[in-house]
Amino acid sequence: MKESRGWFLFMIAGLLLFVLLGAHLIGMHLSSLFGISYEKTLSFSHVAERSANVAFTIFYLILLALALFHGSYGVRAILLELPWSQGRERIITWIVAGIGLLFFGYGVWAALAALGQKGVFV
Amino acid sequence: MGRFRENRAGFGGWFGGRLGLEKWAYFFQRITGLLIYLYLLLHIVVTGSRAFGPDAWERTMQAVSGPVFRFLEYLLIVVITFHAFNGIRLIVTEFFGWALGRPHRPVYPYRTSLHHQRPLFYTLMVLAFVFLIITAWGFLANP
Amino acid sequence: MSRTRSLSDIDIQMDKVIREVTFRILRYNGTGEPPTERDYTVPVKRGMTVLDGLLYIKENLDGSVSFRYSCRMGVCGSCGMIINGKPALACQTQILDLDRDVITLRPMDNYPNIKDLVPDLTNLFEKHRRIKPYIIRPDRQELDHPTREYAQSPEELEAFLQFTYCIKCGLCLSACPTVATDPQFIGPQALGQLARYMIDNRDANFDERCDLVDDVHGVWRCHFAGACTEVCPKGVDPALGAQLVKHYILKHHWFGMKKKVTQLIPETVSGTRREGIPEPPPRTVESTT
Repeated sequence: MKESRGWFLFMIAGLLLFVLLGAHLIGMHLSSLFGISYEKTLSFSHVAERSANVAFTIFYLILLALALFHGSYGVRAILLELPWSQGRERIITWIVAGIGLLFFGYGVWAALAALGQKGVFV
Repeated sequence: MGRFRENRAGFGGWFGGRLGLEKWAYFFQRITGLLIYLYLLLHIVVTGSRAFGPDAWERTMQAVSGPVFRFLEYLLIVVITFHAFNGIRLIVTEFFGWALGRPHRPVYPYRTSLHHQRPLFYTLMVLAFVFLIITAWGFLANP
Repeated sequence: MSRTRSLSDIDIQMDKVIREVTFRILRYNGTGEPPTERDYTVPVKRGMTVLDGLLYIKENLDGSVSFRYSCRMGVCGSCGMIINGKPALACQTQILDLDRDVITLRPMDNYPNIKDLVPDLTNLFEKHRRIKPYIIRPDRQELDHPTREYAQSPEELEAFLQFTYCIKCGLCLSACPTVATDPQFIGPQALGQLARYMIDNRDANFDERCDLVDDVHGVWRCHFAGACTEVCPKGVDPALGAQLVKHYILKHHWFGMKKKVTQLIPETVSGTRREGIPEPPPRTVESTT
């Protein structure tokens, strides 16, 4: 794959993250600005409510994929520029992609499992 | 080839060198990017505990609560805000090729692409600062 | 508060020593042993550059100090070195402008060192060669044996002119943070020159040029730190070149951008002589040719 393909997606992901992660950040970490207490946002009943919501789950999965891709590509760029990266470009790419996929898999599983808990905890 | 013969700047070349704003922005973009990546991995693990039920969730939340973590959370927002707003500048310049000025006949004192994109840089940093002030207010309102 | 001074107020005695400055030069003997600093005291007169100071040292204090120079006026690009921690041309840096009692000089970073302040610039030239720094067109016969000019408007010339001012001094690679850790990175000098040939409308090799640096250690290892542009002594702005290259590659790969290549100017109409114009007077001297 040409390097420009990945970089194009990296930039698009960055642009989308500015909007989506901004919304996530304001909603989760700054909820106190809208009069919802921090403890309430993070209480399990609220978390379970969001997890059971299909729209929220889709939003989370998109955010997860974008953030992991953007982060992994960025970390790969830093690793590729290290002095000892010469001739190990493929291995670095695979390791970073592997870590990204591992966490993506766990995130997807957690989101779907929490979605399936609908009616059990709420 | 020995170290002194090779004479490579190494990691020291990533910062300093008595150079301008953009090089510091580059350096902090890397550092903040790495921090956010590590936080992201941690965040996935921590929030994944919701799949194991209320007890697991409350236990995990207990472990990462308190003023220290609340302060770290604010630092995280500072880090993300810088990365995001500086990132917008990089998308505008690197990706779209905007705000760089056009190639022109160089006449001393040279007005380069760095000068052309500085107003954008300053504007974004002011916006980031304003956002952080609002955030700090939100954190202080509900510590 | 501005103060205007008449010409008589200004000290125009160029031979007067204004201050004494210590040149702290990092001496490397070329054997791989750690370099050592040595101090030299240089009497500084108005208008003396760092290169003049080095020549003073070589003539009067220590003939073994090695540095490279040729034109003394910022054209040849030989005397790049790190002056007080910042890469610059020794011949374009006024000692009095630095306004320091101690001036530290060390060879440019990121190049193998040969001796003292003389770096080996082979890497720079190899990277430059890799981007094919010459006009490539299908009409080889016309290129080798030109019959006419290629049409190019002044605006089309100014679109790439600044990149042609590169003097290959190598300061940009010395300042570049990526080159500092990644020796394989193509580097700002080559990227600036690639932009020059991508924009030049006489060059017909745009598609291939898009692939030249689209690899792991190519243009994507540039993150617009701007260090190259900051140190460029000729206003070439390699950072602009690199960003333009990225932009063109993306446009080419994702949106099928093509370049409009110029052609030969139309055949000129040969001159005709109007009727009734008087002949010039006969020559008064014999032509020597």
